[in-house]
Amino acid sequence: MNTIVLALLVLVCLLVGTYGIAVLQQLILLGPRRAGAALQWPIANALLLLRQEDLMPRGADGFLFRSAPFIALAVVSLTALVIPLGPHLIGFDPSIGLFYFVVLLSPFVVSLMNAGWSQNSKEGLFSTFRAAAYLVSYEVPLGFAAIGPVMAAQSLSTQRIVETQAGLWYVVWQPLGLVIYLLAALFVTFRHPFDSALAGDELEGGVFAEYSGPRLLLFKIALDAIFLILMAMGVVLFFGGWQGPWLPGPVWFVLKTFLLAGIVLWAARFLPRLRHDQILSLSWKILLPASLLNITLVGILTLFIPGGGR
Amino acid sequence: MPHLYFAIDGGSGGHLLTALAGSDPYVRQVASPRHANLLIIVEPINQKLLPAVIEVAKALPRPAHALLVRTDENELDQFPGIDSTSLEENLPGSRQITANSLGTVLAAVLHAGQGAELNLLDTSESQEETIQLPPKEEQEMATELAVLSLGPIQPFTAGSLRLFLICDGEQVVSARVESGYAYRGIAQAIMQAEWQRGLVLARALDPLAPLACQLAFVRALEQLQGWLPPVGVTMLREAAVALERVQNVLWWGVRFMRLLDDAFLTERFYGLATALDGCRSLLWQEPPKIWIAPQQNLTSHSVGRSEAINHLGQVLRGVEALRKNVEQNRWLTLRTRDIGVLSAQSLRIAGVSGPVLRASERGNGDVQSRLVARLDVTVDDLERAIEVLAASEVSSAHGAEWQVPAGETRMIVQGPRGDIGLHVVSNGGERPAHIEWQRPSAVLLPLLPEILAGQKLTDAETIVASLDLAMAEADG
Amino acid sequence: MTGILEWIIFLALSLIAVITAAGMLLTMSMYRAGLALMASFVALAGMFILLGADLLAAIQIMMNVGGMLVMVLFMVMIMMDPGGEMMWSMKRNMHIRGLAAFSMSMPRGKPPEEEPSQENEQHAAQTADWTCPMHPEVRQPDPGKCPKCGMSLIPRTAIANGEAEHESVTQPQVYTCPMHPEVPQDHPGNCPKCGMALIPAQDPASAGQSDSHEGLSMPMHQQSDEQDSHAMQSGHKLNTSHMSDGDHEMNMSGHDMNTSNMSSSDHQMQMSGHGMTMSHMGMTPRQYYDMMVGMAMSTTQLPWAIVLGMISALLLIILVILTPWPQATVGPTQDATNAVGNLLLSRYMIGFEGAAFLILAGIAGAVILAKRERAPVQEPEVMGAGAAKSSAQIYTCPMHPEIRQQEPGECPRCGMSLVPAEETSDSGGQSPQGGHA
Repeated sequence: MNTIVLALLVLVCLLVGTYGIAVLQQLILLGPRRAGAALQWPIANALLLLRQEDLMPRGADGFLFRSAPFIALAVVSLTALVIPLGPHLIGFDPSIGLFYFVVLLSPFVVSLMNAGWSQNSKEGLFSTFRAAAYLVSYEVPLGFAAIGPVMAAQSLSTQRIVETQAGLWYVVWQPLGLVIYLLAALFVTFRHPFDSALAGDELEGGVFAEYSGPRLLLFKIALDAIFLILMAMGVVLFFGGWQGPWLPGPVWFVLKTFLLAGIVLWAARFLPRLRHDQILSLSWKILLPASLLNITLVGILTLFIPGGGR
Repeated sequence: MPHLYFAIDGGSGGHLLTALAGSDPYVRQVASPRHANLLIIVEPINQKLLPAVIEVAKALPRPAHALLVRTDENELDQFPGIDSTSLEENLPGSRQITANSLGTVLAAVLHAGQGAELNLLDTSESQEETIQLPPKEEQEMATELAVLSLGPIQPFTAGSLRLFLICDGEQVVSARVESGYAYRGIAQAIMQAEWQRGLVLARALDPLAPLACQLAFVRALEQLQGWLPPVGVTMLREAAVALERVQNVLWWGVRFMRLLDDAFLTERFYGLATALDGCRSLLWQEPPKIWIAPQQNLTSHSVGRSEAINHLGQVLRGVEALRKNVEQNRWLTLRTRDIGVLSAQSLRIAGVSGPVLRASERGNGDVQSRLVARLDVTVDDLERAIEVLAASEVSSAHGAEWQVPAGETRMIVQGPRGDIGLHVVSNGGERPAHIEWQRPSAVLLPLLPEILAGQKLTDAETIVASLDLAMAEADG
Repeated sequence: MTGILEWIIFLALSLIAVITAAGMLLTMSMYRAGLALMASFVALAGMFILLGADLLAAIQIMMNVGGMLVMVLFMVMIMMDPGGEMMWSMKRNMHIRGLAAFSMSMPRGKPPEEEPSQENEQHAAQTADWTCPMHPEVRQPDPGKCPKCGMSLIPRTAIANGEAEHESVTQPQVYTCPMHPEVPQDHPGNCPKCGMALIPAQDPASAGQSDSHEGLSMPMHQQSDEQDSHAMQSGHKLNTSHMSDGDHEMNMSGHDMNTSNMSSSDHQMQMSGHGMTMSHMGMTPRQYYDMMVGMAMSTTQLPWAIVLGMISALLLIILVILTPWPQATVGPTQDATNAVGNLLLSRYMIGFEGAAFLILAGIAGAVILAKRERAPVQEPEVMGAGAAKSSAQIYTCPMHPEIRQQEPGECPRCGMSLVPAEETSDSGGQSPQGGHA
């Protein structure tokens, strides 16, 4: 029973956090004066989508079409298990927590690809291929950026990574790693400016073109949730997780996560949506060498920074 | 209750729909009809576009509503031969409103949920269309080319245009354009209407720039009548048309930046565009469409509001700042520099004019230079308008004279997208003998296939958007 | 975790693993097959987690999801009918019900004997013109295999004969589409629904067979939107559709091998199978048989394979239950993984550092060296660089020799960079890409 209760708790936390991210997005979009609308919009939108009928295009691959949103949400929930909210608040703490997390990001993109493919439309297919290209491109920079904190903490376990930052947050001496991680995180979650696969206007909705009603809602929740998870993991890796004076761990964690998410979302407003090949060249030509450089630097610094190594 | 709407623009709704999208936090535009619960259609819709509209209406998930918007300008049914269809029959459950301003439409949208529901059932088998593709080269790899059909309802042009992009992956190999979705038959109808009613049709030629068309028509008539208006009147008319050009550029800017999904620049353009619209309504005691009329003498004087001129000054400063930002914005240049370069010579040969030509002459003819050229023209227009309005007294005359003696004349007016030309032949009667318009967007359409071939898919869309095609004007 | 929960999860995971693996074999959609394989491995990974081997599970997921994904991508890009839709509609047209729709069956019975056709061989000796029944544009002086699809070549006249035979049989010339048998037209042309070239239909007497005939006789071209009529506009004289290169892994199920009751439709299909091979594109029954064998996703030894598989599965299950080997009762611990991790991170860190440094150096070197190489050679893409070029230089596109420009740049048709056209090889430049329409 314990397992099930724990799983449900994690799911509830995830959904609440997703609501928070949606509100944050609306706040940045509408401005701080429309806080009321920002708070209401996610719920109103969800209710609207729940009442819509659930359509499937003719000739669509039925099983894939119907299952894709569930797979997306399932994968996101699995990744949420390894985020440490507090000193002993974690859903599942394997010794390879971070690796488990990075690995689970691929099935998420696969579910988006299923969505694009199963729609039986050309726009969907274009978006599918774009999403696949992003998956292949971002995995390496994301992994390498995350290796920095792993080297410093000498463990893959997320809880351990947070604990070793008690003295000094990793962001202080691994800023490059943070930047790479954030950029790769935007890739993963298909956020502006890297949302070419969801390309709102260009391809009439991209992978989500034919989805409507509750399935679309599930997808939107999954997208917001994975953004939340990645920001949370960024806080875990670089900003000390739940460490902080006076306030209890979870509060710090939530504060830091939303602050990071807010900064990232706000900064992304100033960029236009990058073109597909520009996104890919960013990943391969800039992020990959930068992440290798990061590993080199961090490896050297690990030997010198106290508390960052043995 | 939020409303996610999908907008269909029959050609005249460009500014209205662009303004609607950012006006209320609970009213959002969506890219795919499957995500929407409200369909907003700006009439008129002609026979060719009707099937597409019905398909879209069927695609909305229930419960859905439809709102049919007509503006006063578009009371075109009184004219014979105008190709527009009655949508209420074809979309049972839709609600029709007449709205001239954003506020009215917004109010209608917010109350849309209380009306009847759209109840079109998606039952028919859709015919799969077959398209003649260029024959496959025998030596090529076994990959097929994809035909991507964008449109006719797409966000890259103001109005409906169908683009067939034959793509090899992300690269467009060739393009085909199918226009005519915004065709209303204005040119023929003008020739069958009397001069006074012809003015209404002339305004409707380009619903996004009615004043320019009206001025062309009026000036042509005045030339036939042999009357040269005094300097003050001419300058005032110029100012009115200049402000219309500015309005067009600013709303186009909003659409373009929305396409690039650049939230920051979209907001700035949007702010300037709404500020300008506010100014324009305050500036004149009577709207220019009333006092731009063919006349043979002046009859009265009236004064405009001068505090609105200060607002215009603010808009001017905003546009200047925006222009500087656009030139130096590194991220924007990633999407706009060296994309879609058009040479000035080929444009001149094709008869293109306006900001597109100016961009190729002064800059290097890419998307960014077109953006900058439009902003330059806007700055000039605003400066001149402020000068004129601050200096002169507004004089307006109502006694319009509709007797047109025989003769032939040509007139060119600078519209927002290029030169609008008019060739009028009169035989002294009540109706024109011959009227021919030169429309700036229409000359750009045949160039599209050549321009788009070889571009990447996303770039092709950006280029089409940068050309600012107004399909109502292009199709006539 | 309590015992019951563990059992339930184990059963669910193993069921998923087995069912998705079976689904991979049975599905006609390549995309789904790739995904099913992925799902099967993910279920395995779940079982690893149950055993406490987290790292193995994560690696399993990482490798298989990524790998299968790329495989699926390539399948979608290159293969015909990756969605399986064509196969499904063929089966629908042939009115196959139930499990038979999933079978990957082979033509039944013994292969028909070779029928040496005297006149064909004589004719071939005279004209020395062999061609492929599927690709009539292939012409070779000797018999052999078709370079595009691997079928054995037949003399060209055999086709003409077969066609003449075929046409003389059917009485009013109704043309129909192989994919849409309900479309009748009285003249040849293209199907209004899918654009395929129409073929003469059977006469009404054998209308019951006509559906199956169309379904079986005409290898189909993919019907999805994006590949509309692209390759179908080849107007070769057979009026059959043109298969794209290289792909024959199609499933032309004629009858169900596993069910013992032969329905009447099966009878019909068997008969029509015989009857039609005579008129089927002029192939001999032996050639037709070979083609079907080649296209089925199966072998004639399938029954043996099934028996062998069942026996080995039974053996494994018995072994697992009886476990005749000595067993230890100690469970897996975390120490081993921790020890490995510690080793990797502490002692072998320098190895990772070195590897990263080397890769970085390699990339930097490649970038720097590549830049230096490009400097002396003027790239045609560098537009407006203002370098001095000879004014008489005309640039042309390697793919489209009719494009000629004074300045370098990109070909407006295909986007390739223009190369200088040499005066001497003007005519030579036309030849390889010869038949440009």
